[in-house]
Amino acid sequence: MDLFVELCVRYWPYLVLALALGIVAGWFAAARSRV
Amino acid sequence: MSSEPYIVETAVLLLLAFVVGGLVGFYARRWFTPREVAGSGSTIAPEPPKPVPAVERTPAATTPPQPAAAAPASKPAETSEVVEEAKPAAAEKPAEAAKPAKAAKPAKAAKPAAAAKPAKKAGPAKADKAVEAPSASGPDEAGKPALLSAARESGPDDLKKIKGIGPKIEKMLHELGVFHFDQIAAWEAAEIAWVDEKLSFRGRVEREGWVAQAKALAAAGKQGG
Repeated sequence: MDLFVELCVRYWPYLVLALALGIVAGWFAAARSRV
Repeated sequence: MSSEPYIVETAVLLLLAFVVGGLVGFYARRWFTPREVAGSGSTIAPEPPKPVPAVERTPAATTPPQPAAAAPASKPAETSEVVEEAKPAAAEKPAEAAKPAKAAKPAKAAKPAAAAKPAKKAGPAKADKAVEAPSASGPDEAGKPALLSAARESGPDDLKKIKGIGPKIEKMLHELGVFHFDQIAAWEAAEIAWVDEKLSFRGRVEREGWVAQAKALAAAGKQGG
């Protein structure tokens, strides 16, 4: 758990970036599945 | 903690963040797109994926081979199930909902397939009043469904009641000559393929079960009036 927190603290910009990319990907995946 | 890179753990964490973001984006998109198509028409219809009832693909085993457009709906019992699902108003009287469907179908099924004009037989009795475009005859028009040049006197049906059809697609269907549920209900594989190709629907007619839904809505419409 400590390691998890440590990594989150250290790499938070990348986590945010990954989260944002995931949101974008999920958004378009939903759009594609509904077209 | 030391300054070890923990590459695998970091990668897992990033992957996790990506997956979580993906889920958030997916559901956000579905959440923020209007569920009920109210006519604002900004986006395509955002209905959730729906299991297609097994009504639509019923090869007419008992009937002789005939033009696909002439084949009527042949499963009244299952249609009544769809009526219950798709039309909450009809759910109060499911037995009655089944009746008109049953009553209507045998008459059509008994009618011999007039090979000369298959398109005209696809619609119900009301179709006599309609202004019908000439039926498909060209070689490249194989599978062309019965199309109308204008809606019948009663006005066009609200095709948006079919899950998967939004204002945009409804307009496209109108331009094509599809105004009524019974027109869609009469589609078979060839017609579905034709419409798919014509409007670049990429298989969504089948995927979203338009035919089954249209059958149910047409039956409900008959029951209502």
